[in-house]
Amino acid sequence: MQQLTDQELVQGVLQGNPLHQSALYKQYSVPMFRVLLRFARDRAEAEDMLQDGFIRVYRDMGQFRGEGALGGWIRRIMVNTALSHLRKQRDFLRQTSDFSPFENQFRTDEDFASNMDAETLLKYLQRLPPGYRAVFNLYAIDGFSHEEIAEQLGISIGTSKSQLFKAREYLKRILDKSFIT
Amino acid sequence: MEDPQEYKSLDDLFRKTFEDLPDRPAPSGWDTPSPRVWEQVQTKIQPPKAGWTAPSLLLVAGMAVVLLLGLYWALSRPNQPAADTLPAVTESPTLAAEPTNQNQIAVPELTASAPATHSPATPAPNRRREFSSQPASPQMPDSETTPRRSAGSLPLPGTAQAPNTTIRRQMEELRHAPWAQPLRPLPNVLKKAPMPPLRVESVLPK
Repeated sequence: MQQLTDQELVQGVLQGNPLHQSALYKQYSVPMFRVLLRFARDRAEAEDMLQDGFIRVYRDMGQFRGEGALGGWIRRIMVNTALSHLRKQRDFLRQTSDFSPFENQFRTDEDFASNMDAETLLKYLQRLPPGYRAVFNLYAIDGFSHEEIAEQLGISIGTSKSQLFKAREYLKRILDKSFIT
Repeated sequence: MEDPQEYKSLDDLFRKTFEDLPDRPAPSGWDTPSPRVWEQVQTKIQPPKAGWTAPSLLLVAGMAVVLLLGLYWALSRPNQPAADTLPAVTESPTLAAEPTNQNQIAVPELTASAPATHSPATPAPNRRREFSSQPASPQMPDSETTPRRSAGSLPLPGTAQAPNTTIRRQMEELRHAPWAQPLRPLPNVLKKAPMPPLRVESVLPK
């Protein structure tokens, strides 16, 4: 099937064309699912986020002005959807002083001996508490500043920095241990 | 504040790993959502089906049955006695065009002397007070070219009906009231036992 341009996809979706709706989903579901897997604690939660995100995309397609790439616009909607999911969690940004990352969480023979591919790194990320995971994703991978993260999550800049520090410490120790093993 | 180098390399590792992924989904399928997601999205974004659906047809049929049953019940209901219900006020043109009837107008005069036996809708004392101050005769003084109409009087020929339906209903009640019918003549006692003519001689002292 011929790849449709972003403009054609937008026009088709706005007209309610089922073929264009399906094509848009096929084109962007995998990259958006990869983004959401980083924010979710597991696959099922990421699928819930993806479903809500695409419903928003179809609903708000009229607001897309074509100034940037369609993929970037959809990605912003997906990240916002993921953050609103995380904010609904009761233990989001809880104090994790009792968080012990190396306690019965990994089987070293399988996880640490494997290559550092995306799937493995994803497993490490998903072990983080939601607050650590969200701040690390937004800062280290998506390139947001602490001010933007604080605004999006409704937290202080200091909280954003401390959550990032703890997330990095945890990931560094895991990676160090994996290299030693 | 600048991030330490060790953290920078950590961030770079995650960023490059997730951003340099190939366009095609992984063979293991870890980055492919299940088909259930698209099915759920489809159900949410599809516009509602046009036309009649089974639930809407059932709803309309049920409403029609209820309406028919209600109509049947209302039409087959037996008429209640007239004493239990208020007399219907009919906007008949004959009433408006009817010439003033002596008997009908004279009814209020009868009510002044007759006892109020029933008609709970309008208490009798009020009626008495209302009609006792009104002239019983429909004839108007000759000097008046446009006769004044009392509140309870019927409309004159050629004039519009009074808008106050309460007063007209009271008039209807009064006309149909049993105590408003003409009284029966008293039994003629004098015919059976006629009094002897009075003679002056028998009265005067001799």
